[in-house]
Amino acid sequence: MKKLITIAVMLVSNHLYANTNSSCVQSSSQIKAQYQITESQQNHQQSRELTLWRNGEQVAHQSDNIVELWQHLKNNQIRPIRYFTEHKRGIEYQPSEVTGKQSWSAKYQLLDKKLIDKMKLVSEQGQGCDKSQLLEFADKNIKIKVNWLPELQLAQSIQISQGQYAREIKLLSKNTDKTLINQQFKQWDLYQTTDYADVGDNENDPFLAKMINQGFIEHGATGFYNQNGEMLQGHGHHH
Amino acid sequence: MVTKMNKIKLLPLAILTSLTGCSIDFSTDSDNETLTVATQLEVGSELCINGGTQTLSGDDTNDNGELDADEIEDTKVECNAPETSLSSEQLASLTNNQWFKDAQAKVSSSQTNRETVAKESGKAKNVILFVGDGMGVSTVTAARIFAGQLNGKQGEEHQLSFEMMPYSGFAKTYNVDAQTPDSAGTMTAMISGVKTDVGVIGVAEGVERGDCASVDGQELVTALELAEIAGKSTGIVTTARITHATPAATYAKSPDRNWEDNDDMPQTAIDAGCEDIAAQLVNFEANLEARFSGLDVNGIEVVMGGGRRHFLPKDAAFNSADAVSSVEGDRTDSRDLTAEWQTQYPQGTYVMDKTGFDAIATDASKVFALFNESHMQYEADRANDIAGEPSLSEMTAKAIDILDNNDNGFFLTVESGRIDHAHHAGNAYNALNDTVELAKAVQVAIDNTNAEETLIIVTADHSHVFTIAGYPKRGNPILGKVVPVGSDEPSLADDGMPYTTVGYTNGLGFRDLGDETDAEMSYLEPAVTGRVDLTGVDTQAPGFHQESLVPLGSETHAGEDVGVYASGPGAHLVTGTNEQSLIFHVMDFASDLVSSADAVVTE
Repeated sequence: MKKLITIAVMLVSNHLYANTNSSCVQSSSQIKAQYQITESQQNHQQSRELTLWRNGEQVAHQSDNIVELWQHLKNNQIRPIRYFTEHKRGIEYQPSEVTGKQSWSAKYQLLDKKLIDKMKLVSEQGQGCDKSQLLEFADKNIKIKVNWLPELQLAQSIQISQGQYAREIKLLSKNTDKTLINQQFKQWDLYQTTDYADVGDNENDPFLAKMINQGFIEHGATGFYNQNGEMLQGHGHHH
Repeated sequence: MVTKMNKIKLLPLAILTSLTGCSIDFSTDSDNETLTVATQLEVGSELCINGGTQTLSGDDTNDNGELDADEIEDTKVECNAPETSLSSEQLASLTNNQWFKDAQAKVSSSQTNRETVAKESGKAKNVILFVGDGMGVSTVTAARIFAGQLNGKQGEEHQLSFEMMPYSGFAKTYNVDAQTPDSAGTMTAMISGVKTDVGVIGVAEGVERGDCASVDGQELVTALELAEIAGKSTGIVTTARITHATPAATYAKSPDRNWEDNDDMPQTAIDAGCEDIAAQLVNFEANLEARFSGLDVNGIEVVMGGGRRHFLPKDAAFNSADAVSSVEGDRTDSRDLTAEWQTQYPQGTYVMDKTGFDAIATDASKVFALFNESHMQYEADRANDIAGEPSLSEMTAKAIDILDNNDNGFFLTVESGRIDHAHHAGNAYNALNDTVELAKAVQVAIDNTNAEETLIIVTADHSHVFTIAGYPKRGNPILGKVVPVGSDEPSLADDGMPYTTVGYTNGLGFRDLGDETDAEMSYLEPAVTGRVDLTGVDTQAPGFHQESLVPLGSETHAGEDVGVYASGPGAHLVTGTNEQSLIFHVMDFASDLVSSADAVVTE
């Protein structure tokens, strides 16, 4: 029985990745994807937007006034930068060297590659870059249904239900205009940035003083998932 | 004791005296015999510290020939006169005690040090100033215990290398305009002998922070500049960016510590002629020569640290092999200062990684080493650097190897820049581990220089709100939970939860990042207020961040004094509690920096 399951997983994996169209992957390495995130629990429901930006080895998650940007380094470390767009300022962090805690694929495509790998292929339709797959995963705690665009490594929709809590992430639009994407990353790059290590020495800077005294940590970008289907960021701490 | 006996037997006097120290006389009156009992009191007795005699008397009312307790009518005590000398037996409990012997030996060696230290000015051919950024007294104490425990000892008895130096004192760290200081003002005080404002580099308090025009007339001269003028070799080593406040104060004049490259400056300041800190480092020789007529110096021999971003253009084409940003350089004036430096010193060696560092010859004429885009790694995190980088002790050894080729001597500043950053992150592990590495670097300096001609000073620019608290038993792991004397279980606070020995008064508070060695990862989460149940948490793991009382986005500096430790010629002047600016004057006295430089300028 164990052998059969192993073979099944290999088949799914092969199915997902063996026929990846390299031109699609190329075009998806620079992309702007706008999502709507809807959370519901019992009678409460709330929605917000999240924009996923990819620019080669850089990924950004933008929501409201916060942009979380990650740079994928040569040694597979991930270097985070948090931009505060209202202030046109950024805080740069040291790369994390801990694999497992920082999943590049979870940031790049909202879903950890290992989670995609272990999801069941239910159906498939379309051709080339438009090919889409319906994937499902369920265990005793969580059910996940993903409409996946394998050639673009992009989720068209993600539905998660966990008891009475449900979350739907729906792709509203996607744009592969390289000029637009380059301009956006360049704009963020022009923001004045500070090493977080230096924040504590800059209490005279009003922006940083606010950060020292009030925390100034906001998890604006929400909703990406590790290999176990667990959300990797909180529900939006506002300080 | 005789005073507690109920009955005194009437034994022959000689025997009684020899056995108990008592003697009895008796006489008769008309009715009963009157008995008198004399007892010798031993040295150390409650009644007489030096011994004596107690005499009891009364009538033998029951005629039994004994002075019973209820028959005592009078008690007299006569104490011996104080001893005029102590016998070896009396002192045995002291002189056989190891604490006593160790301290006695220390007094003897201190007396020898006092007699042999070179007290005349100008005897220090070389001067090395070590600065542990943020290394307050509590950090030194905790690092001492940490280092001792790493070496298998209980810890408290351990001594860091610089704690064994013969002289020490305290420095008052406040800035002219700030009760709790920053590195810019404090390092300016140490390196120029003048206390100044918070946030300004190499300029006196008349400056207005961020105002370029206000710098005129406020520029100070530093010990490194004086040494350079005097013909000594000069060097700066740090684990922070080389343009960061502490190293910058040795060579730059800036009304704002953050003007590290041109992009950090307001255009008005650039237009007004102010130069960014990175450019001032590369132009050090020309700037110094322009300041003093007819001066011809040869520039700083050794520059090692981080901060490549401030020397490279904002253009990915200039990225180095271990760039972490998509565009490593920050300069928007298209200048590549590393290339400018190489043009200026064609025989000099520019390196950016460990391989390049290892290849530097000890007879190198000039070294410019920028090992990281920003700050160098914490010592515990060095293995994760992309291109590899040397430790502080390795850089110190290499710097001395190069600088000591000059017969006129050298001036070297070595900063452990990231103790401060670990504390700001609320991570004691990295603060202590980097302090231990600083102590190692100091030992390297001691081992590689002649103590008779080298003044070494070790100090901090300021402290942090880092505390050692509770009542842990001796040898309790310094990063562990408080386990009291006589117990193997952690003490519980009033809330029923254990607590750590070390902690912070403010900052981000509790984080449990396990084996995470990068202290800054904690910043990705908001401050944790209140207490956390640490029962199942390994508080000794590198990634553990201690609890704090006041929730702040970043832990802060503290305002108490810092320790100053010294050895070599002139070190005897490091004593007492002094303004931080005294450190410059000790270095000047020991090495005649001002007079030697003045002789060159006025030639």
